[in-house]
Amino acid sequence: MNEQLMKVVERAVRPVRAGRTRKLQMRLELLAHLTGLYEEERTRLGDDAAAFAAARERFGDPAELSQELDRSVGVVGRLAWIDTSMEERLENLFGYREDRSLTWHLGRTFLTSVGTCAAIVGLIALGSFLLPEGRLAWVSATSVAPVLLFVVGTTFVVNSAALAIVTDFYDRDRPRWGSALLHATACVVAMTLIFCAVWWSILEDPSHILPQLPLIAFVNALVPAGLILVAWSSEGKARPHREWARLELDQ
Amino acid sequence: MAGIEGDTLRGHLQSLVLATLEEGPAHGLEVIRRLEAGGNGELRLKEGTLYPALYRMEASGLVKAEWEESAEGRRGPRRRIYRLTPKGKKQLAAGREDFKRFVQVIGGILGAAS
Repeated sequence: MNEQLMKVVERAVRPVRAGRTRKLQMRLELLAHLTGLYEEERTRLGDDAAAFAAARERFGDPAELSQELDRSVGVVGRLAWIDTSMEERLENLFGYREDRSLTWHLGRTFLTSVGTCAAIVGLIALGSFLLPEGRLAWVSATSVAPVLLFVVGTTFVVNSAALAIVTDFYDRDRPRWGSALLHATACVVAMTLIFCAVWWSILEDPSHILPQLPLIAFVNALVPAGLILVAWSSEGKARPHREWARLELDQ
Repeated sequence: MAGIEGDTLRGHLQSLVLATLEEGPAHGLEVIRRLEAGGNGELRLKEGTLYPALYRMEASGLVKAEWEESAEGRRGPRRRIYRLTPKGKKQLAAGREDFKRFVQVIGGILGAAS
């Protein structure tokens, strides 16, 4: 019954142009009211279906309520809605999507890396076209290749680690901390190897880099540590919203 | 006789809600109960529509809302408890004066006609 009540509320709140937090507040408050109506009617009528129909009737038409709720949103709420809409678009573009497979996510990660690489090459090409001759004389396949290797490698590794770490927290009552730690360690190792490979291709005597390895690994560890922190904290905030977003509303 | 509903009720909804909150802080369902009790069953409000009015009053500083501590003793999520602010009390007093004037003027005309 709770899901049926939630659907009545969601029909009213989903179209409202307000920020995510404000809409969750509306949802919870209206659900509390509708649940109260349903309990009253169930005591009076003694039948679940009849009580639901009576509660819905007392609550009012969700479409009309939606319009009134939308009109109650002020300028600040409208700005928050714009912010939320952009955030949702970015999440769709780069965030974890439960309706997609691991292969799809890896493919997207690969394309992001290639896209970043193409953007760098494009900028260099544009620079060589616009800048006076000789300003980009240092640019050559030998000098650009390590940069591209570094960018593509780290983009792919960080994106993959982010994906793996998000799945360790996504929709889990008990996060998979062990798995997250393993993914973080793999990320640190991979980033350190990429860093070393790039520097080895640049330096004449690569042995200089060996004493610096612990420091490099420590700096690289900050990235997955940040990913874990973000995944952990944002999961707690995202779950209540996801519960409502998953409701399928009949037309 | 038909109950009071629609635009007739909506025009006075803000003052009516403020008046119910004068009795003490209340959540939305309790506001409706107080309205029903005060109106002897003549007020017919689609209950969901109370909330946009409450949100507007909250944005205007006429009422202040806080989530209740817990939902213990009943089913469902926590409710928000609304209370009247000093600005809301002033608005209620002004609303009462406006209504008295409205009744005097319109009552005079309608009374004269009958």
